[in-house]
Amino acid sequence: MKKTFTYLRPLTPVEACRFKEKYDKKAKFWAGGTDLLLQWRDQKISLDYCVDLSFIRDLEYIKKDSDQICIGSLTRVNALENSSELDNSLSIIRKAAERLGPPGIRTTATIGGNLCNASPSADLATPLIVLGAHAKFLTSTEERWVNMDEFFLNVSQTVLKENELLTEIKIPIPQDITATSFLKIDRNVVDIAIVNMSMKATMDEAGILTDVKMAFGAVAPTPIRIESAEKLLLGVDIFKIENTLIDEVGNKVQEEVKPITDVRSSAEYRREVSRVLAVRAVKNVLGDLKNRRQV
Amino acid sequence: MITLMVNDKEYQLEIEPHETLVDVLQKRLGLMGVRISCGQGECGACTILLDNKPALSCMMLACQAEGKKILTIEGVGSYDNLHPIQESFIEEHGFQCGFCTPGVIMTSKSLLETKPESNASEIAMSLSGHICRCGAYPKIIKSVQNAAKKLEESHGK
Repeated sequence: MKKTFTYLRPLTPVEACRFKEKYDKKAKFWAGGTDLLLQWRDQKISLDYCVDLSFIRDLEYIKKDSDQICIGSLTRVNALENSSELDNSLSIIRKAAERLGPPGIRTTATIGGNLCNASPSADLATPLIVLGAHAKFLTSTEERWVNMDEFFLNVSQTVLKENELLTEIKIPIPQDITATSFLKIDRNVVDIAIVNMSMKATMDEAGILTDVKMAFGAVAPTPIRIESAEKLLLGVDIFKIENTLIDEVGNKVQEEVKPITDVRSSAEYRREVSRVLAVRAVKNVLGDLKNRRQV
Repeated sequence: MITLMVNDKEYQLEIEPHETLVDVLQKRLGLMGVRISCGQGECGACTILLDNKPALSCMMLACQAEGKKILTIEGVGSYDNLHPIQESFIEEHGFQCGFCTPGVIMTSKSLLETKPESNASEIAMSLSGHICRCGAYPKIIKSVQNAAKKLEESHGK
């Protein structure tokens, strides 16, 4: 393991891609660095060329129009947490940002870094998955879009190819009557999640659920959707829903998650907590939808 | 060669690319108020202000701080002219050993500048990344509340 590395400072996304292409596997994109710095120091990654993205101002933004919101990949977590653009259904992104580590981390950590580090417990992953976000990947010559649902492959592994740079997250703004919930269980606010999860539900004018998404973090090698639990709620009338069905959703989630035992929690506890969070999220979301209906 | 703006002074430094900001501040500039403790973003002792926002100086490269305003406890007040937050920590006994105090004061300063009317639970949330092994937490929160009052009075004048 080398004692130091060569530091490169691109000022545009394309310049960053060119550096990466030039040094290929010997180089790594460096965003806030809050994960990479530790991995480098602990010799978990090799790094000959550090392509520091910190000075690419073009990738720090939150832009909203009528039907979508676009977030630059180098947007700091504390900018998300303080963004008034992230309101209504999008507020789960803000809530997840507020719970991502202590304030001192959120000043430097970025949304792109949180996603590309591909921790199973990445706090910003589940909100983006349930909201149907897409991620934009760039090389010096091409770009492509990937659904957040398909972004994570395994622990520390994403669909990004070696020289692709994540530049933007695009989130459609729900146009129908939609409610969302973000929940996280951790030991204290600084902590990495034992379990985190997001839920989104949309209903039609009659109160029938037309779209339901539930995603869980820290319970499998990647953040995962539990489609079998989502299906139980599809087509259900929110005014006639019975508690037994909500319990069934919780049980389904408990069956489907595949957690491991680690320093933060046992697998058994994670499974139980997943069930509890699923039930809470369903109740939160239904409560919110019912209020919306009465207005 | 990098240029860092620390406590309103410009420093030209020849450093290794992998050096963290905390290493440069403490070992090269001798700013001993910036503590090195856990080295992995768990304890908050190395907290400085980066463009007025709290940041963990052990979790970033010094290179990444170029062009930003860095403030350490040494730039907050002087021995003869303490900042109201520092006065409050003395008056309310907001520490015992004092090791975590510089970091705590930096985060508190940023909080009181952005949300001067923070209540006890907001103060606690904001300081959640700081570990005090003496367990002075209740008095730390009292110190910050006292500081908020002092700052409000001094602004009122």
